Amino acid sequence: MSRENYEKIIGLEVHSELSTKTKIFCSCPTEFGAAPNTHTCPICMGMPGTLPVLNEKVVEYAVKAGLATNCEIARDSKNDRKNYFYPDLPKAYQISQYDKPLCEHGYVEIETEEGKKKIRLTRIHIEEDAGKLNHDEFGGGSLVDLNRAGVPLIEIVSEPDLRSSEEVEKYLKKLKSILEYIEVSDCKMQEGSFRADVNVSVRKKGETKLGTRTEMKNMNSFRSITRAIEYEVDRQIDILEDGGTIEQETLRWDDVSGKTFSMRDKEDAQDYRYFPDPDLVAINLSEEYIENIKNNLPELPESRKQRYLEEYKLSEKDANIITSSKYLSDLFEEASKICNNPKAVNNWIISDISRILNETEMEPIEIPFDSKQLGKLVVLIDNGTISSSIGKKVLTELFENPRDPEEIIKEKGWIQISDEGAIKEIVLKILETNPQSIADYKGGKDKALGFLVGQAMKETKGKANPQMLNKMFLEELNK
Amino acid sequence: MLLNLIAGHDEKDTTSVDRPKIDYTKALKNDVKGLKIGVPKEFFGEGINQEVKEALEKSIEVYKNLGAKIEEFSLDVANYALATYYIIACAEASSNLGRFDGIRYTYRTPEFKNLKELYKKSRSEGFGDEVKRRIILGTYVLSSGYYDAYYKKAQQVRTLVMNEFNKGFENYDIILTPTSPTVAFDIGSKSNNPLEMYLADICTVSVNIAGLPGISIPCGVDKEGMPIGMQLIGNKFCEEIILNAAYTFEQAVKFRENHKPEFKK
Repeated sequence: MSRENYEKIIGLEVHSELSTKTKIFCSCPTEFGAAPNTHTCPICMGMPGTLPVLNEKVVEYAVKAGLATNCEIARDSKNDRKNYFYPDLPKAYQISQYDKPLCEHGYVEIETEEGKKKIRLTRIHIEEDAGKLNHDEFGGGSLVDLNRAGVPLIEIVSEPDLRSSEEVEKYLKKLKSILEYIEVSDCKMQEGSFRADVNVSVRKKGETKLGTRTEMKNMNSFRSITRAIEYEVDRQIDILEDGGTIEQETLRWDDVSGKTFSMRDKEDAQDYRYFPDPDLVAINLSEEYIENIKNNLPELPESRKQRYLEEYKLSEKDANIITSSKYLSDLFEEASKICNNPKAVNNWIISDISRILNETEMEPIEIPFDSKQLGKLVVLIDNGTISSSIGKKVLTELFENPRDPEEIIKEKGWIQISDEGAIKEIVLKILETNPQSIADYKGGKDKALGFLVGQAMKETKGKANPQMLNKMFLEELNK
Repeated sequence: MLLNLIAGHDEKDTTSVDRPKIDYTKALKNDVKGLKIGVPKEFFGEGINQEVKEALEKSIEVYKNLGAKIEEFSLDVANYALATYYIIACAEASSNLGRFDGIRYTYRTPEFKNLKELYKKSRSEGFGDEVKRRIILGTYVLSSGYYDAYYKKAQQVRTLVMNEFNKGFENYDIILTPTSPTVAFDIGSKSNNPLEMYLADICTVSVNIAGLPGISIPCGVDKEGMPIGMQLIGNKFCEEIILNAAYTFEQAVKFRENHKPEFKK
């Protein structure tokens, strides 16, 4: 039986760090990248005798996330303890939520080839992150850094509604953009503030029962998630085709070898002994509280997209790309206001900026320049100060060392040659050295004109005004 | 005086209640006239030592003579409260003591081959028998498949115990019971029978389970001179009433002046 006869079933548990200023149960800062154990206090270090106090912002952010993903918000919720031993968990229990999560029964819509598809969300709950282990960094042994311990997380659990790695990527991107838009998480995947546990199973097409699933923990790049799913699906189908059975187990994806490895099987499945945390009180939310958050939700990507289609007449594809990230979207809107040329800004973002982001594996939030600088770049092209090919060079500069584009072109001597005399001089020089092209043009080969303009651009290192070149070559050739 | 200091809302403890503070020293009026005291008959039945019973009966007389109104009533909670208490307390302890795993806090075993062994040995060597007993019991009642039958049930029973007490406080200002069914036993004499040892708590744990204030004061001695305790239980946030009742009793019987403590060799 071939692979096409199998259906892939995928469900995700996404962990996203909330961008509150302080931790979930104490007032330590949540900032990433500080020296180990400097953002800690007796509470997040789990010292005996300390008590947690719930950060109200965490509840607010989680409710925002719930409302933005069409969830029902629980009026009556609570915190539970999840007990297990691990060195990065100083209390030996994680404060999480078990049977009364803050948000339930939501969905996120993705665009597939067959049209819109709803991915159902089982729940969203709040919990604290664990610390980080640094292995063998200081000669042998492992050291614990508790800066991350107590950083607030939401866990977003989807139903097994996803059917391919493409759908998974679309779903994750959508979810990420929603969280960015409502400003509850910065979703930096490299820093681990947006990561997913991926549950995969396969079944023969037409079957209604779910197959045995395996879980891959803590994946934090789209590329690894896609590769891991493809690998795992193949592995499972191979086992089934050979008459074997799938073991329910937790796997670790290894990016280097491109394989999954077993971390623990069902046998040593942990019993977390969940129970309500007696140190904390129930979370009761009033109708007004929820209503108030609902009314103050910022514009979501779907609505921005709609606006771009109507207001700016962007293509559906372009609008999708730009609204996929709040940072790109903000960049687009602000730069457009400055230069009054949304079409041009759109083109820059869709082509060159996206390409550079891809090549450098950068996320939009990491773009070093701001909307003013991009807007200015478009203005300089529009008013003829530089050509668009110089514009590309300026953009590269903006990525490397962001500053005022005007300064860049002055410094680099990139100002466009728009002086008629100077242009004419170049045109005549190029014509003189390319008699063959003249003959070709006269013989009906229009392409020769492009070649001549190209030569002139090369001669001037891209600084000549291309429209003027075009015009003047035509004049000379048609004489 | 200590109560005066620790009373009130603590913003670092979300389980504490925000209420106006009271000066408890002002509550000591040395007067219990008209105070309604309920005596639950279940607390004086089987298992209660005869000498304890007699000392309590004398104390009840003292209150009668001071002008309090005494009435016997039924409050059948003690057995349930005891079981509930040991389930909930052990469950919480098993989780609370998890942090003493040899990684960051407390004793770490000197030799281990891997993480699992570090945990196992540190905790096995570091904890005493009674603590281990409670951790095991607490872990068991929280385990999946047993949670509903034990921990959840215990929380439900806890609500029932509270309701029973609430009914009692509709009629009485104070509920009077022995502190312990027997006088103090020798250290270690019941270590081999923990269940019997837990039974000694049967009168006092109801208060913890129901979330009520209670005070224990000496009210007599047995023939070997061992002190016998009386427990006064008040309604929620009615510490003043039990403090005043205890103070008035002490002023009347001058227990401390008549009984100098003696320690067994």
